[in-house]
Amino acid sequence: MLFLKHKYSTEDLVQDCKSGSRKAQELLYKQFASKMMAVCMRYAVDKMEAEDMLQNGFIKVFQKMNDYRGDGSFEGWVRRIMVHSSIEYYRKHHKMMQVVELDDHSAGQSVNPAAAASLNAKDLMGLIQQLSPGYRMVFNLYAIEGYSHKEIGDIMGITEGASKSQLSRARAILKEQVNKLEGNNYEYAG
Amino acid sequence: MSMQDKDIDQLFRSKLEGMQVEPSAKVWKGIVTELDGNHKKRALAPMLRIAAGIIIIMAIGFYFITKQTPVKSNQVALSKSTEKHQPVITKNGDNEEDTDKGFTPQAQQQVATTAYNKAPVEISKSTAHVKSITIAAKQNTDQNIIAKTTVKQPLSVNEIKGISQPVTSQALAVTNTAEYKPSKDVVPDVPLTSSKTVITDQPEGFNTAPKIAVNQPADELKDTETTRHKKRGIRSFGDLINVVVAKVDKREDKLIEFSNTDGDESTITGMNFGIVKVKREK
Repeated sequence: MLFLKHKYSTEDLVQDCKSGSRKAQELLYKQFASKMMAVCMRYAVDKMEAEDMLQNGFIKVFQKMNDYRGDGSFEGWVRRIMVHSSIEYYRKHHKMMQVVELDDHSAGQSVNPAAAASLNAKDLMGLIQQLSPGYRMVFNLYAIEGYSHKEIGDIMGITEGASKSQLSRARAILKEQVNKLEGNNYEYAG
Repeated sequence: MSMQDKDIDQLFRSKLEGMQVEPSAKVWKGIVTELDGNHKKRALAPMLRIAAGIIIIMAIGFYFITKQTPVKSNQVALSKSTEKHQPVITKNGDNEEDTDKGFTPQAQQQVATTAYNKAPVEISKSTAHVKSITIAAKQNTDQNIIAKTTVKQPLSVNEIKGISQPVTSQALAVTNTAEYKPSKDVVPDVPLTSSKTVITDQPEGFNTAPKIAVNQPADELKDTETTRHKKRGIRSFGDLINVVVAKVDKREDKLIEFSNTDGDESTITGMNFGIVKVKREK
């Protein structure tokens, strides 16, 4: 856990960063790095790639610092940059193919919500990372980041329809995976 | 109960949104490197150009230095008065080669007022023995002053590095073509007083019996002038400037001229900005 000795307000740090203070940049980085790392982890195939995405994202943040006018939360602004940068990185380094559905994952699978809630973040992260890229990105953008299908279409360079169908596929797979995990947990729990 | 689509979204969002994963230290280092790189690039680019310019100038200088023949020769200070010529010439030296080249003992020096293009006369001065040296060769569009040395007696050595270019038949040029090829030290063993040379100042007219007359074309003049500089040896920063300027400035009086005195110090002996001409008289 990154530990801050003194409490600096985000606004102050932002101001100092705009002036070019390296110290302020470092403090700002320390404040948001862990959260943003988790964001990148969802888009990357592994931790190493996630770190590359994180690095690129923060470089953009500091380069574009003057564009941030203070409207809206700073964290939200950073997060948006991080997401865009991650997807850009991914598209650069991987071929994003439209996934061809081989199996028909039943959308109507039922999951025990209470049990599902007991799953920890790490497990879920693992499930997300198992998804094929197309599904993963769309699910991330829609379900977690909160973008609309239209926005996802713009970011990914796909149609709205494609975004919708990929989302439903992703959901189905995840449900299945959650059930499997739950099942395992129950078994261990005895 | 079946899980609605929204529920699965909700499940993942709630668990993953606030998640934190600590990145390794190298990430911040990478960020710093990239950010610093940009800053340095901005500051560095103009610096690189300046550095490149300096290197080019140095390369030109070295080029000249390596071209010159390694000879130590007396340096010549070309001085000229702005108005009247005051040719006081001393000769001395032991250039036997000069005599071999057919330099007749009677070189006449005179001041001609005929127009001429360029007739700088250089007279070498020995640092040791010569008491005074002067040369006044100045070209002017209105005045022609060709200083020549008049020698009444045979000279054992005569080092006159002079190139004069007679424009009219009246002008006499004294040149010693042998002079600029081999530059040598002029260390006259003949003291001034017992010099066999006699200096006369003839402000007007000239002897009708010129012993030596050499016509030289203008560009040859320039080349020899540059060569002359080179032959002397570039010993100081001033010499370097002189050589470079000589290449560019083809006038008699250069834009800026440094003294070719012995030692390391170079001082400015002359400047010529067209309107203003300044020259140190030696």
